[in-house]
Amino acid sequence: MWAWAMVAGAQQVTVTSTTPLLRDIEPAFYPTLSPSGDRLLYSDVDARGLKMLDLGTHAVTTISEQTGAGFDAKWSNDGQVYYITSKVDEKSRLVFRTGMRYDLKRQASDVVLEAQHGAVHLETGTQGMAMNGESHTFATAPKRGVSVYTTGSQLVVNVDGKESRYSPVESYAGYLWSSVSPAGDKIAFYAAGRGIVVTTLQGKVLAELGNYEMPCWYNNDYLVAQNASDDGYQYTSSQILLLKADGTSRHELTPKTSMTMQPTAGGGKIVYTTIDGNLTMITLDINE
Amino acid sequence: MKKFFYTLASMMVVAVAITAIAGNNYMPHVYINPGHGGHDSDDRNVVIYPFAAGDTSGYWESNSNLKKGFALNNCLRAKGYTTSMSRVANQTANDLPLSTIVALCNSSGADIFYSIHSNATGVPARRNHILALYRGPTGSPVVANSDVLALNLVQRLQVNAAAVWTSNYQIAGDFTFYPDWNNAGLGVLRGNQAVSMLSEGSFHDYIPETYRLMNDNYCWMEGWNFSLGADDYFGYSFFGKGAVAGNIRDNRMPRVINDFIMFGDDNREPVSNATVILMDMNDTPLDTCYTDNMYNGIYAFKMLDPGNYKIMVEQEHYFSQTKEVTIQANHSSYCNFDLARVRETPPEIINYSPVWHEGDAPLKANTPVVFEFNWDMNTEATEAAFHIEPAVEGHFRWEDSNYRMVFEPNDAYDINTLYTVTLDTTAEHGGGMRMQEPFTLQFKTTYRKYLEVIDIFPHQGDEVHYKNAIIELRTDSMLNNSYYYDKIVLTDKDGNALTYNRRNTKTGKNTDPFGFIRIPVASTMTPGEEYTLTIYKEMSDTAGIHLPETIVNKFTAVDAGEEKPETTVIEDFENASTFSVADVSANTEVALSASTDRLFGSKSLQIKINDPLSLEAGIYSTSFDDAIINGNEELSLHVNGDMSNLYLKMHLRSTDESQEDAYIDFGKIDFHGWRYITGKGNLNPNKTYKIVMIETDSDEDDPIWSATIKLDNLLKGQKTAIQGDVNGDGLVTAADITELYNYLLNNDDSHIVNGDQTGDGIITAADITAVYGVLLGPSNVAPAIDPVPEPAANSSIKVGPIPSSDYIMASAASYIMGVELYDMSGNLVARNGGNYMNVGSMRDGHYILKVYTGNEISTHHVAVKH
Repeated sequence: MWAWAMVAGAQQVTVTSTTPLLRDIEPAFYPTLSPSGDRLLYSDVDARGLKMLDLGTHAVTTISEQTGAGFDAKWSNDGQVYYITSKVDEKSRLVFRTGMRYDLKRQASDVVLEAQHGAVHLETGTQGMAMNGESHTFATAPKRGVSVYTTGSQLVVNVDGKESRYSPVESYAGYLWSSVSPAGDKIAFYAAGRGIVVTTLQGKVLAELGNYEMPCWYNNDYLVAQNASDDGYQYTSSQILLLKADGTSRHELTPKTSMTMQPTAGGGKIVYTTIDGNLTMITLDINE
Repeated sequence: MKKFFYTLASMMVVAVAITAIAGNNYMPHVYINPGHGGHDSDDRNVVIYPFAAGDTSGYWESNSNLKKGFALNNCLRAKGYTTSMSRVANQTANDLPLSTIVALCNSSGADIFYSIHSNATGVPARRNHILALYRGPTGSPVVANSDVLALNLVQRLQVNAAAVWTSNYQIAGDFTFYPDWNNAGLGVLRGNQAVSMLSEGSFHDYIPETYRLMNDNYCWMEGWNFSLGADDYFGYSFFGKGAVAGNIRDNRMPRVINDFIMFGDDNREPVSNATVILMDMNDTPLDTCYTDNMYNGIYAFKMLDPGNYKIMVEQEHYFSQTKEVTIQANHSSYCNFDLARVRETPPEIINYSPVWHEGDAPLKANTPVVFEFNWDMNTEATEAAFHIEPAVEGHFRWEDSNYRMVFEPNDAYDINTLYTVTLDTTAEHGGGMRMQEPFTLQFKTTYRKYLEVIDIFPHQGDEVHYKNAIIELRTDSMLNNSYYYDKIVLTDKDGNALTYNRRNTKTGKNTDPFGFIRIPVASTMTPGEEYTLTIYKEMSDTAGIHLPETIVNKFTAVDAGEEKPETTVIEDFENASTFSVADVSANTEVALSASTDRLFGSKSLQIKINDPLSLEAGIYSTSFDDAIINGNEELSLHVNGDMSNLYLKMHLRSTDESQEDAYIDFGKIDFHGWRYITGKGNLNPNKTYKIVMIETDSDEDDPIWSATIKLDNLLKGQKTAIQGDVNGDGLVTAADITELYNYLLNNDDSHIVNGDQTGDGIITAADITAVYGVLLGPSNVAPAIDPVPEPAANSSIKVGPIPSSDYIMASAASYIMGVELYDMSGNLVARNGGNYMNVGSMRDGHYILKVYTGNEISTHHVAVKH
């Protein structure tokens, strides 16, 4: 475990607590904290199945055992869980993807988007949720506040029901991991080959934070991200960074050799895993 | 004229067809990942002529992967698939992180995922085959049907007859393929939700394949074959186009550039700059392509309508050749050509050796016979036409693509013998024409047949100080300075080769009185363990004369500086200024100085002697005056030797009125490094002695007239009885029997130290018999051992950080299967099936990390510190 105090620019960042999670129970990957930070979604190394850990009671609930369920599961602003499962059709051998919603009260999942071929993109917003498939779509409401998703090299922004598409920076391979800041005034996403970009809701570039992956808002001014390297086959280093959204500072929350990856943030907490599935939760003190 | 180019109209037909066959409106989406990228540290560069290391125009795996990816992308799109590619350029920025590639694939809605790579052994051994891996145990892929996708692909790749395969394809789940993988998996398959696989299409470090992978058409064919594999997977057969490719080679001439391993037809010269013409069956030309000048002979015709065709190959130095080929829809056809060179004149010898005439100096006993011809020769016929008298067993070697024949005796010719070599007229060139006249040469051999060994260190049975050891071979002529490290090998008890400090290796020069190689050992040995020095028969001098047989010397590592109980230091040699040269001949130069190369304290005494005639000198110290040695004591000295064959002894004098001189012999300095030597000599146990001086001398027959030795602690202690050493000189020899015999005759026991061998309290004839038994003790004969190769000096495996508090990572040019951590006692502490070891919960200390790749196991000293 690390207990680092980092100073860069004008800020001092201190890790105030470090809590191992699910150790000696099972390896956990693809962690996703709820916005309030009281629950955590996680999956296995291949994103098969989806489980939920109550960080207060430490109870674990199995949400799904389906293939792909854990890869891109997301919390909606009203505390529901949305996820996508995938299945190979035996006859056509095509992959079909189904949109699912887990109701915490009923402790049951429902199909909200029937199985379809092609990409299905989860759209997260400040007041709602949508699933955008190539054939059909699902949305919790026509107006979802500010919401965003990526497709190819396009950033699709929906503000109060009006959709706009932007390509703020060049990236042949495409964009990933888009999200709206907690205050709903900024968007962060990752452009393959280029790195993390922060824009206005109109797609104007505010800052480029460096060639890191998996950006996730820690608060309205900071993001956490993964900084990994590999040899073309396997990871050779990986660490978690805290990045100021305006691009003015960068803090190493873990060292490069820690092999920490897949960060998530919510409710003032940060959770990440390691290459072998050791989950850790930390809290920070940022002294501006 | 057949229509062989795919058109927009045909693509529209294809799109309609695919919709109809799939039974829905969905077209498969394929995610293409051309592996690596950027010509940087995690890319793979194979240096081939004429490119320098790092030249991006040369072979890089990222280049060929991208060419294959482009071809696959174009072929799939022509068939109506939709596609995504992870990169279309080759800069470092295009080499996306593994988790990004997986996320992009999942985000694209891909049905299948191809990661395109080629393989490398990472070790000197070479092979060429296809390897396909999917995630999960074999037969139970994490994503259903990934095994089917892999099988469909490798079956399409294996038909590539333009390549030379050393074995059939290999296909496996990655958890099974590497038994200790521990589900770590390939990064681009981990979390990938598409039906996915990684292809190692061939081995790019198999150099003939490397040259093929430089060819655009060859890469295109692999991309095309990938698309056929996708068709097979989805059950599509509507496209209606085919392709043909092949390899054009000389029908008999070996490769001109041939300093690499080759298999099968790859041994023959590829035909560059050939014109290849595709014709219909009426000989009407339809298309033309060319082989490049990259030593691969590859051609291809793409997107052809099914039917029968002719292919004609022309090249100015070869007879042209035409073959018929049938193109099938959705298939790859292969049609290789073996071209015959145009050879218009009979073969002649244009150069030869040895050129020797009666009266010339005789030749060395291993002189090769070399014939150079005007044409590449039929090797079998020409070897049969070769005769040598008197007959001698030998072997032939062909060089320069069979233009040069070399005959070498297997061992050596007889000495002082006249040999006659004849090549008769049945010798013929590759075109079948014979020599018109026989050819004869003669030569006479010298008296010398083998390289003679003067000395070797360590000797059989030696004890050698474990640190900073030096090995040396001394011969009667100058050694060949090339490639001797693989002929003089030092191994531990497990057969592991110790490493040498090659930079500080010394070799003999022409002005030296003998040939030698003197190699410092970089590895530190373990005291108490046995080591083996093997010098192979192939060790030769500058004339190529080799040893008569392989030499194996076993020796034991010891700590020459270990504590000696019940001894007293009577001189520590710390203060060089107290020493002076006491007795020296006129020509002798003696230099005394302090040296930091020591066993004890901070200094040792260095004695450097130069003399053109002998190394005779005496060295005195004022501190000697205080040392009193009893006659029943023995002296021991720590000496750092230089294999100068200097003789070293201590001159003593009794303290009584007789002032009787005595000498303690420390022997010949025929060793390197520190050694603890107990002096041999016979002091009168009833007297006490003082040291007069240290004396050196040399053997008149030994051609060394300089020496540099170092001395450290001189000890005295009670003389240890050696069974059989009756006279106390430290040796058991016939002199001990004589000593006992004289006692029995004269009853004079003044010099008998250990006469009662039987322990019966009296000295009798039975004690003579007992000493005789000691003299007949077992001899040490070293058993022969198998040659042990040196470890690969250029291992690519790197490990770090050291020390580590959380993870120790390993990286290598090839895939890392797993790592194992051992404590310093050799106990397995932990094992992981990936390229990392989690040491977060391990105790601080030193460990050994073993790294396993598919072809190499390496060990690394690592440390954990929290």
